[in-house]
Amino acid sequence: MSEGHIEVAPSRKTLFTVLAGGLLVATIILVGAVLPAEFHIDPLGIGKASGLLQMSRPAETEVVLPASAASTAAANFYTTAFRTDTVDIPLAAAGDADHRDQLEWKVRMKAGDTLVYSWHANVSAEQFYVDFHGQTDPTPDVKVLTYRKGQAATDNGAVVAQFDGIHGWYIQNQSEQPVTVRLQLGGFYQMRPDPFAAE
Amino acid sequence: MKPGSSFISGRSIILLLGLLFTALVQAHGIAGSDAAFVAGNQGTQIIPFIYLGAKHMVTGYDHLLFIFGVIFFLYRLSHVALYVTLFSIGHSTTLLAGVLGGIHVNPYLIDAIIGLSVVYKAFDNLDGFKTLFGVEFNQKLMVLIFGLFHGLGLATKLQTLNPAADGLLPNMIAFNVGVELGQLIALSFMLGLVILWRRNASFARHAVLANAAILTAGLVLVGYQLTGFITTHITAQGV
Repeated sequence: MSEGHIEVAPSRKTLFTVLAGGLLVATIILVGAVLPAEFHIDPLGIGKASGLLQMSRPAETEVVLPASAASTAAANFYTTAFRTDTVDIPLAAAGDADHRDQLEWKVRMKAGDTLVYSWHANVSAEQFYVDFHGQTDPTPDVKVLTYRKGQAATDNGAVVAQFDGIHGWYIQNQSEQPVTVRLQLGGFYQMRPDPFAAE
Repeated sequence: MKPGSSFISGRSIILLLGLLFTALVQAHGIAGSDAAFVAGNQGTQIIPFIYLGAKHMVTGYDHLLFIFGVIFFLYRLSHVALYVTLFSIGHSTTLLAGVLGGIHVNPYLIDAIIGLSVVYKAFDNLDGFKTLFGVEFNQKLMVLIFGLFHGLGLATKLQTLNPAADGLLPNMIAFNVGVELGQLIALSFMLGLVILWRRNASFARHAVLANAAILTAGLVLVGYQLTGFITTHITAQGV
């Protein structure tokens, strides 16, 4: 007997069964679980029914802003009065078991809407990560435009939305203490029913 | 049937299912605080990189499935030592050459090949290539060759983290030493399990099923990685 093989070699029939069964089971696992959960691909709707689909996000595409869009109009006009909001967003200490040390917070804006903001976190900039971006609704892909990202504990700015979608911040607390972010907003935008929702 | 025999085989099958399940729920890279450590690290850090290498191997189901397949029907410890050494020579070569030589391979494609290595070994264990196609591979050569691919997989995981140039060589060697230590630890457990299982009558009956399960897990890995490759390449051209 040569080492490294089964003692009694299975028949051709058994081998075909192993191959066919393996392919079948692997396909069921891939289509039923892995593709919905990891890639947001759900051809048979199994992922939606099982809830696995919500574990993944639609594929995101970074949008490069055309040069012409960088020059903004001298003035923008709106049919509604501007609104202002102040929110306090609590974050758990880094490494929280339920991942409450990081979240997304976004408002809804139409193309051309203006948002002015200031935020401050009671933590050092080295221990706080921010990704400020806008994204389209999934169709089914999500297009993402990053405004600014990196380590920071405070920021002030203004954004004119380049497309209809949701715009806001991914924030991550990297310190050992819980952190609260005070966010002040003003301008032309809509609050979403759940500002923490991913899409 | 001896008392307790079904218990052992039942446990073994649960372990195999566990391996399969782990393969499904866990993306296998270096993540979280470990990634932050590598990215922010400057200079030589022997022990931390040994630990990272060992951790990567012990939690690396793709490497573990392949090793499990390799030792499944190796009855003599000298054979186990020989095959595992060949595998180590293979993956150490490409890990060091890949990182130090700056060889960049697509991580999805290399992980798909690693998945294929699992499929190959499980089918080869059942003498499938010989029975169906009349082909017999040189097993030692195949383990060495697939070891080279596993090493490229290890290299891509480290490269995505951009380890600092300062102290790169000692850190890489420490990582490699860790990989071998982790492999030895995992191997001890798997070997213990297989030896216990072989004493049991259920081994012969379930060996085909066990290798079919390993083959299936390998196919899932291939599908997972190829989908990752396709989706990243389609969206990169989109907009």
